[in-house]
Amino acid sequence: MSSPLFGRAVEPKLVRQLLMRQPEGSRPQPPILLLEGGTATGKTALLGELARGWMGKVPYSYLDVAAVEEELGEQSAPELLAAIASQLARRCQLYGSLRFDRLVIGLEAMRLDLSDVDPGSARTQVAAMLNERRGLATLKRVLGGVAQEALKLVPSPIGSPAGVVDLAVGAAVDGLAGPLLSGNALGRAKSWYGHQDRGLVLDPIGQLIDLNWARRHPARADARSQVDELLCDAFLADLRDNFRTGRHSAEWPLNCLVLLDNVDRGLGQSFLRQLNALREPVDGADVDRPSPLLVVGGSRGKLIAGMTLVERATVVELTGTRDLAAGNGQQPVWGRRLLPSLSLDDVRKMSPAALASYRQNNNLAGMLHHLTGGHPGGLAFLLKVITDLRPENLEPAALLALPYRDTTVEQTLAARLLAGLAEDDVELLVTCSAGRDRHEGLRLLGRAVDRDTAALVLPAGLWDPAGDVPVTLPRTLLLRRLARRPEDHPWDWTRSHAVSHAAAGPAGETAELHHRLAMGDVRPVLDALAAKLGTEPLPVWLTWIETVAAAPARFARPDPPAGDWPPFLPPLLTRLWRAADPLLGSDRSVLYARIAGGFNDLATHLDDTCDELLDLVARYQNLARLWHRAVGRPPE
Amino acid sequence: MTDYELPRNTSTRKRKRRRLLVIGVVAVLLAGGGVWWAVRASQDSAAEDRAAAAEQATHCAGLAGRSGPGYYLSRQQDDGQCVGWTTELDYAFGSADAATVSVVAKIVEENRKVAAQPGKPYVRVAVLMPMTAKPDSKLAAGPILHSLEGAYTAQVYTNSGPTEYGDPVPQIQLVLANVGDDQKSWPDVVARLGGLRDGEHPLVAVTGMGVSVAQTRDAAVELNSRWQLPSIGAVLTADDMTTRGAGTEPPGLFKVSPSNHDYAAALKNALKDRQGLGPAYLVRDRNNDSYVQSLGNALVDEFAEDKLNDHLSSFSGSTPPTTGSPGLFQGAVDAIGIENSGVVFYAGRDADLPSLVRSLKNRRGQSASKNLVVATGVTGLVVVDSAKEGKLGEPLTTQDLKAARVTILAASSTDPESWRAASNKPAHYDKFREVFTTGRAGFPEADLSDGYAIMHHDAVAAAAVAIHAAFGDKGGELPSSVDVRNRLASFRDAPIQGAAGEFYWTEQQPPNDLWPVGRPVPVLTFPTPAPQAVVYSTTCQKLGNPLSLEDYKIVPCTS
Repeated sequence: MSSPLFGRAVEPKLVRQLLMRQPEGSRPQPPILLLEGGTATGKTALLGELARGWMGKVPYSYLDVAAVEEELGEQSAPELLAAIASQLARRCQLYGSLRFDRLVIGLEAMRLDLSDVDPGSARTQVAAMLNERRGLATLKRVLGGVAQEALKLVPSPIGSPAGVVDLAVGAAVDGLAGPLLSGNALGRAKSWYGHQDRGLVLDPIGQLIDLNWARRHPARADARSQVDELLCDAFLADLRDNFRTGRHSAEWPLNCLVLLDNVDRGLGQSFLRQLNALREPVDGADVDRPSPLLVVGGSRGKLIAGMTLVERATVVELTGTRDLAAGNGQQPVWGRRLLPSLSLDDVRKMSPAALASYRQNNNLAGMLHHLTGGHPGGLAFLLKVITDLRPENLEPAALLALPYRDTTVEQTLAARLLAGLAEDDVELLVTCSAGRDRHEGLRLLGRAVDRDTAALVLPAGLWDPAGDVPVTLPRTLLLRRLARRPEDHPWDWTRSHAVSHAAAGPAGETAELHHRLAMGDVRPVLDALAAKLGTEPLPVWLTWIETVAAAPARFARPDPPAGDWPPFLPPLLTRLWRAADPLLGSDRSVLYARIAGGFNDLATHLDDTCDELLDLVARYQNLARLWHRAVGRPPE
Repeated sequence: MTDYELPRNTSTRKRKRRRLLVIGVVAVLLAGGGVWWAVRASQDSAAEDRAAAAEQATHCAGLAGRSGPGYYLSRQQDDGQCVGWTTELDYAFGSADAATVSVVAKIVEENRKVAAQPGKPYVRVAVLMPMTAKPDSKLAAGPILHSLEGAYTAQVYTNSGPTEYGDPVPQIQLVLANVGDDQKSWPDVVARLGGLRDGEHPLVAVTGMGVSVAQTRDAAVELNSRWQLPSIGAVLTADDMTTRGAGTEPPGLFKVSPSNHDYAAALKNALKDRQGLGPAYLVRDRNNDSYVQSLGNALVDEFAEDKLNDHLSSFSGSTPPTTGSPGLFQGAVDAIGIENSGVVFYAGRDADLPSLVRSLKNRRGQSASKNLVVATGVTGLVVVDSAKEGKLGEPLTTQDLKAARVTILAASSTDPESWRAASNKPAHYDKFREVFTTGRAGFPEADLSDGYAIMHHDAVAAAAVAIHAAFGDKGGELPSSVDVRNRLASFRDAPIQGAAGEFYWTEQQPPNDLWPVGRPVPVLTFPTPAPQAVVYSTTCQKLGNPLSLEDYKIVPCTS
């Protein structure tokens, strides 16, 4: 029994909607759905949940591409295909067992020991192989044989969906149904190698001999891609054939589901790109080519980041199920779903026992949410730390400084959230963390390293514009490392922010002030804000001060300076700045109340107000009420 | 639907049947059997599947079958209501009302307790009525709850005796029987109750009986003629609520409530000194509903000198079966203004009275400036003491009446507000109130205000009295339903001590309509309660032609 997923209500709905089989011609085929998020954001757990949810209901496959690649190498597309087909061929509720005759014929042809010097003998061997009758049981055995290694790496949720009795019945039905019903299917499969659903007129046996040859001579130009392409095409043709001619196929309500984790790997990227290329409509095709297949991939963003601008135009951002219906009628090729951070409610639900053991559990949940920005992996780890160590002091800084195994909580957390990155890349990310958003991060990266490769290293989830808090947990940890860099480091705190500050340009005045504040220059920021007060529309000014005050700080935020500004302004700015600190713990109630008071003073000062200002006052008053005083009392 | 369900339009069942057929054919081929046999087998199986599906569709939500120990409940195909009966299955017929669910649980618990007492004989008494309500039902959710509370109070009181209702032997199990919110399921439910008449713990009487509609009388006739089961109506007041003349004598539908004619007579008694109030006017519901037709006829009959048939307006009541747009009183209000009426008689359901009063606020003409008396008959009228006027769909408030310059005179079966304090209350009321509000019952006193709890208590109490008396008559042998019926008509010399007052039924020849005799009919005054010098008491009377309200004439029982 797996633990429940939190904050992942939209994704299963998206998948379900994309799985829906559409009437012929109304929507060609679902896009490849990429569930994107940084390390430990719950992609694998979500894929596992999807696998468990659809187990036994639709033909589905679930594989970890990274594990397959590590075991079999990047050139293992046939094995990956065989593994996918083998899993899709398992019996399920309405669909029975899908047949993959074309793919199996291709795989068997590849494995034949054909003579390069005696074409006649080769043809005889292939013809004999083609004349073998293959029941379902045989097809499954062949697929299982080729996919043997890959299937060993199937993630844990994949088990046999059926019990022993069902398996026995399935085997008996397969064994009986195969010889009785497979004649037509095999005939179609053999002839497919001649036309390939493209109106071609080729010699099927010759095609299979070529396939065998290409497999045995991988070093020859294009040989590998020729094999992969033909097998992938055969796989898709098999799927189409199943959905067109399978028993009761008209009643099948959903497409097949293929769940692939870690598709950023070379094997995953090449497989998905090839799949997409082969799913493109082809002029002169013999059959309607939409593939009844939904592929869902877990990605850290590398796949889309590596796309060309033309390719990116085929990506649709999916913030909800309604985005599927939107658009200009063109079918997106890729659907990208950025896994959102968890909300405060989700945090409360994640570990009620751990939170309840502290008297002020509302504050604890809020503090953890503010510290982590709702990062699933970070939250889970910190809750585990709290449960295991039961520390007396729960203030964020103290929590991060706790010893944990041979190191500290902070270092363990950073290692987990940045897992898989080389230390050099992490150092680059530390520099990039000074950027307010991904755009500024990329700019810093471009300055620090070769501009062309910048996009490939910047992982997803470092910034979250839609998040509840200004700074994500990975960025908080990186910023802390940036703050600790010595001043003689080429990319220390000041230089990183100064570069961003300088690059902001005249159009980016708020960005400039943001980085000035990050560098500790409070006075010029106050000057600028005071100058804008009364000259800029009030809603615009409010956006300014909020954006500016979201700046990080290298050291403790200073007290408001004395000066010739409107009296409410210095404390308001410094309090907003303090409130943006993810490491500010429990001391928030009074702070929020005073921020609300500061905004009220602003209205009095200007003798003006607006809806945005009223909303801000209400928001901070509400936060002040919600945030209790002390946090971190020892467990009761 | 969850995120992982296959779409509902999948014909899984069809597929299963097909699969079954294929497997059947293959199996027969392998066995060398004939195709004919295989097809027939699969057809039989498919038919069984269909039958099973049809059977499944008749199960009430959450139940594995229609019947089991202590219940028979089935889901209606047309509207999904769960009708039938239960004694020992804790199932509130799908009611979503927590209080109703709770009181059903209490009754079931008492029933189980009764059944679990070794050596103590027990019989069954049904409470037949709608157990669930829709917004426009004649019996709303509140009265349903209160009815069950009253029945339960009588059950636990009589089972814990000895009391004025006799020794607690035999004990009484209540059979809760739901005929649906429109009472249209009565034929099936009555047939099922009939099946309980025999056996070790026989059903000997049916109480409740819903409201004054044709279905109620039909159910009573069926109970009486086919199953020889007496029925005791709790809140039936329409004068044609009788089985007399329906073919089987003696009649079997007893009532504990005064009739509509009694209400009209009590109003006449209360208005005998009404000189100076001005002309009278009748506002009557035109729906085909025994209660409203009977009440209108009773008022016309009793106030003959006012010639109400020449001074009336009709409206379409809001409870089904309605005959037009409900709640349109403007014509009546205009006429009342033009005629300068001082008294308006209202012959409609309780649910429509607030709309009439609120419409009267805008009356014009001479009557606009003076106080208007609205006179009617009800089981128990609830007027909320509030300084605010009620809105559409809300109960009447005292402010509604003040704003409309209206005084209501309501001839009623009960007067719990006055009885709580006054000294001239029914003799048994205090005891009833104590049992109702404390101990195992422990219901809120406010639940007494509409009178339904009191009347249902009295109906079950009457059955209990008759059961215990018949048990004594037979020397300790369980009475039959016929014994109980006969005993019900034999308390002239020792009237039944109802919570709403003493009463009895008489059975002199010729047969009568079994309205209670000696029952007090208080006339309530709103918004300012006024003491009543002489309380009218019911007398033995019957409808001249029991089969029709058209030729309405009330005659003494001896006629």
